[in-house]
Amino acid sequence: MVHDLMLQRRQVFQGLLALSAVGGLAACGGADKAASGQIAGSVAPGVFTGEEMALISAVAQTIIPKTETAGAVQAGVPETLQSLATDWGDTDFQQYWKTGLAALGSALTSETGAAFTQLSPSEREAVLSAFDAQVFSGEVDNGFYRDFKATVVQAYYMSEPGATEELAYEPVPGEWIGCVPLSDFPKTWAT
Amino acid sequence: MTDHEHDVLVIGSGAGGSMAAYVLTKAGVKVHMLEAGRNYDPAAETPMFSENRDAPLLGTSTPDKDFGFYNATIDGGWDIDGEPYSAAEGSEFKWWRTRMLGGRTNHWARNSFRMGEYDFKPKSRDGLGFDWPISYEELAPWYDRTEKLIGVYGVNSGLSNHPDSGAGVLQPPPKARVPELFAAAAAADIGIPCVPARRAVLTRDPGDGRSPCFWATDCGRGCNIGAAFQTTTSLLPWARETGRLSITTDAMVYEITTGEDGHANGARYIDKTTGEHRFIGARAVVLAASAAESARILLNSNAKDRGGLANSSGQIGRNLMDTVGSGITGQIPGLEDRPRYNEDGAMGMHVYIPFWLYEEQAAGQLDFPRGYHLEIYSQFSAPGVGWGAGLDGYGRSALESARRYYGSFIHFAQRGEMIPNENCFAEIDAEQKDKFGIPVLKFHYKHTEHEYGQVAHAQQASIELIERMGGRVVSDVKAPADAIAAGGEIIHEIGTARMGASAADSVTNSYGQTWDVPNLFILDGAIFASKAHKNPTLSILTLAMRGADHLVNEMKQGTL
Repeated sequence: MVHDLMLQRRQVFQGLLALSAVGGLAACGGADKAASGQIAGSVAPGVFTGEEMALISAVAQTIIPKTETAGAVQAGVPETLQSLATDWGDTDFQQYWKTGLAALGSALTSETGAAFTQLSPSEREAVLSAFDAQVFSGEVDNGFYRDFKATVVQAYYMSEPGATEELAYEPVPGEWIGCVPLSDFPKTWAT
Repeated sequence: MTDHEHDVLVIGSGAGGSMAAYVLTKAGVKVHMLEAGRNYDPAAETPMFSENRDAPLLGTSTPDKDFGFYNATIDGGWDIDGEPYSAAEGSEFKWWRTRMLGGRTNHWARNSFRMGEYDFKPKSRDGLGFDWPISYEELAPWYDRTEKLIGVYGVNSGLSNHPDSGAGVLQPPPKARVPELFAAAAAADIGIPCVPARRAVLTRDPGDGRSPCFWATDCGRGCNIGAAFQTTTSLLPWARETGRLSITTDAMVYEITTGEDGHANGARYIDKTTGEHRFIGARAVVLAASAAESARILLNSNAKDRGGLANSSGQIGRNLMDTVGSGITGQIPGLEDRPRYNEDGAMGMHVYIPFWLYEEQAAGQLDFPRGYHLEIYSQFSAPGVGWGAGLDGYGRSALESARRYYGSFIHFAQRGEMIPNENCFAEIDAEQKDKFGIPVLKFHYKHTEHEYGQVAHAQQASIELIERMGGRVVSDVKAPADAIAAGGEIIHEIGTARMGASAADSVTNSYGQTWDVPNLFILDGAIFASKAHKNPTLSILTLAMRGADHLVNEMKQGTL
């Protein structure tokens, strides 16, 4: 309810409501740091190892691939996840992610035994497609994957390429005209 | 007689206190203002253009920043370290405290609806609650003056109990957005009105140094161009320009003092920067610390008998009310994949649904008393934390479904009238004190069937609207007792020092002047005699303007 009201008060109702993995971070002890005004993205390397970052990048880029617009990797999503876990997560949260990533890596190993990161983009798509369907149909219970995916999607759409190219953003439109030829106004929100 | 340069002490810098300071200083009265929070400079401290992706935790809400990292509330919130409050067993009450110059006006939604003729005489109409000692007709010119001064967009819709403003008072509203037009069409089909909203956002240059809305940035972060009304860009600088307003921030008031004659003669406060206890004198005191904090100060004053100051009626702390709140969200296929255009507008509502069933209610055809309105929220907007968390699929299909669903959700928020009941009140907690040693408040709160019946009706109406739009309800539709917002959660708490016609059963007269202490005025939400469904800030401002004007007159006439 508080979440719901917060959205109303900020006048930024965005739909696709679900409690987010990032929201959970705040409850895990990041609040003290939030008050200090540190800026995310400032710490590297972080708690995720090179191997973990490779898996994060491979899965994130399969969820949000490069199309006509930037993919998750080009949008800096893996670095955002690294920063969230390193700068804001407490040890429980970091452990949840590291354990979850290890299990995810195993679950996404191909039938031939090749690691997900070693697969070609089309093979990754096939493996992730099957796994994603199993999780979201409830056949496989994997809360971590849901959190992981939600965080990737949020980080992507909040990134500059995700926001400006994929959804269309303009800092200051200058005027409000409620009735226009649509072709004249392709951008959808301001700051 | 005075050992100070000012005449009037104003406690609180939010809507009521700032309006009082403005009216008083403009009339030549010297004012000193105390604010419990820290100083705030909107020109330097408003993160209007900052991106959530650059903020800690992507800008999401935390216990330190309840409404997100960039929200204008720079200090305070639901919980403040070392300043607890308690709730009686079985009660839930959330107390929002904005601790900064300008108070809640820095981040409020700016929704500005007038109370109407029924709202001032509710008991006469249905026998419940209390009538106000003032009619709408008496207050109407003050509403005009207030709206003209602060700047409110809207139109005169001519609906019963939703009064029209005077000619030339309102600023033109922004045109409705696509989802709002869709909702309005659905409402028209069902026979429900949907009209331009009224918000304290400038759409025209008022010629006083503030700028009109430039159709960008979240109003909740504060508005340093002055378009979205907040006292820190308007009433306070205007009052300071007179040279007659001085302000002390970080001043935690805990007692209003009285002299031998029983008149207020100043206040005691703690200087939060040093921890020192201080006294400041005055010829008259205006209390506007917010409904609950004002009640706390009065109950902690005159501590000899613990009855509190100005409390011969025993009504201080009683009649605590908050707006009845609930909400239903729908997903509308007709809004999927719609063409993109900039839909920010004035950020908040352009249209809303005012209560439309007064006649049916008066005829006894509804099973709940008193009205509500539905606020409508749906638009293309900047993604934030929580966005896209339930996205289907992966890869290209995920991108496509994000584009498809973007802007296709609509939320109807019920905002309704609550009737005062004897189980809702605040009192001094006999056991707890805050870090300053000030006894804290204990809240008692219970809704009744009146509120639950209203929530059920609003839920049904919202579902009907969503279905008429061809959509499906995506919220979990709960039983009213579970769907209703907790007391205080809508942040419209009022009523704890209500005005009335007689000293026997009320704390103040219609000017906010306390019956017991004639030079003590209460000019915040505490004096409301009822909690109409209309959001309270506009009425707080209007009552404060009228009350402060009365104080000026009494001072000029020498009665004070």
